[in-house]
Amino acid sequence: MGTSAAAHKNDKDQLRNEKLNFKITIPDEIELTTGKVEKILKSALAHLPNLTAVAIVSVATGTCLAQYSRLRSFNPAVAASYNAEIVRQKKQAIAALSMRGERLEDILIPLRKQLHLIRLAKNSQWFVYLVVKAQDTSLAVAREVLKAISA
Amino acid sequence: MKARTYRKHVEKKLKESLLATADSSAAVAHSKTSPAGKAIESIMTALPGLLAVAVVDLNSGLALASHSNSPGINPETAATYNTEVVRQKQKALVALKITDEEIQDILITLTNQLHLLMLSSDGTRFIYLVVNLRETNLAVAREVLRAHVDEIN
Repeated sequence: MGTSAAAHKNDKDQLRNEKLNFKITIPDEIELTTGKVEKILKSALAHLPNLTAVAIVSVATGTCLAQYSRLRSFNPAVAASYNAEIVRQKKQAIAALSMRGERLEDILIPLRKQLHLIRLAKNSQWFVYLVVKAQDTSLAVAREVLKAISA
Repeated sequence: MKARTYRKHVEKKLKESLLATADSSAAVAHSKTSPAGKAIESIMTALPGLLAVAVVDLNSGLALASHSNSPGINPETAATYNTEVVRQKQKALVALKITDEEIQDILITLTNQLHLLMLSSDGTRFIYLVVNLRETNLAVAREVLRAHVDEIN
């Protein structure tokens, strides 16, 4: 207990000292600028200071273009490829059902203690993956913030 | 049994079995007696404007019962893909080493439609619902599914 509390304090200190330098790698085929990625991550943190994790993921490859996690044990890059597969499957479903004029906008996955949200970019090449604690943030708030920041 | 009588016998059996499968597939698509069919019925009563609804087995990805009000949506085709959506998210949770959590539902917004997947408490089945975004709001659709999800087991 003592050690975990100390570890927690260290995490907090580290957060405070952090200057939010995100590691951003954008492949050539994706239309997205580093500035835009930084803006999305920063505004996510500004609007939802308690968020667990946020990441920007490529739909085609499932690779994480940029990420930020409050929890050391939670690595959004691990989930990124699965979430990209979810997006691809859902897009295939829409194509298979030949729904004209329909575009995938977002996918919300409420768990018991966490909310996982995925919002697809207009060009469908990348999506923002957001994880918040259900007790801190309501689904509606998280969704509205995500909508606003990824526009 | 003589060869000729046997052939007739086989033909008769074959016809019977073909009829039976035709009947059962019709019943599966919309049965009022099975728990899945009953759930479909009550969801249709609660949301008369729904576009499509299906009760899907997560293991096989097959629809146990379904109904569609829109000719464009085949709920059985959609069931297959949506099963994969649920499975991928379950894999993601395993990969993240999140063990004390389970997926309750998955909400998917399209331009004009809402797709909802609500998992049963034991996680073996789910209800798939498609509604028009302009007619039914997310909270209402979710609440209706939550009320009926226990019926599908």
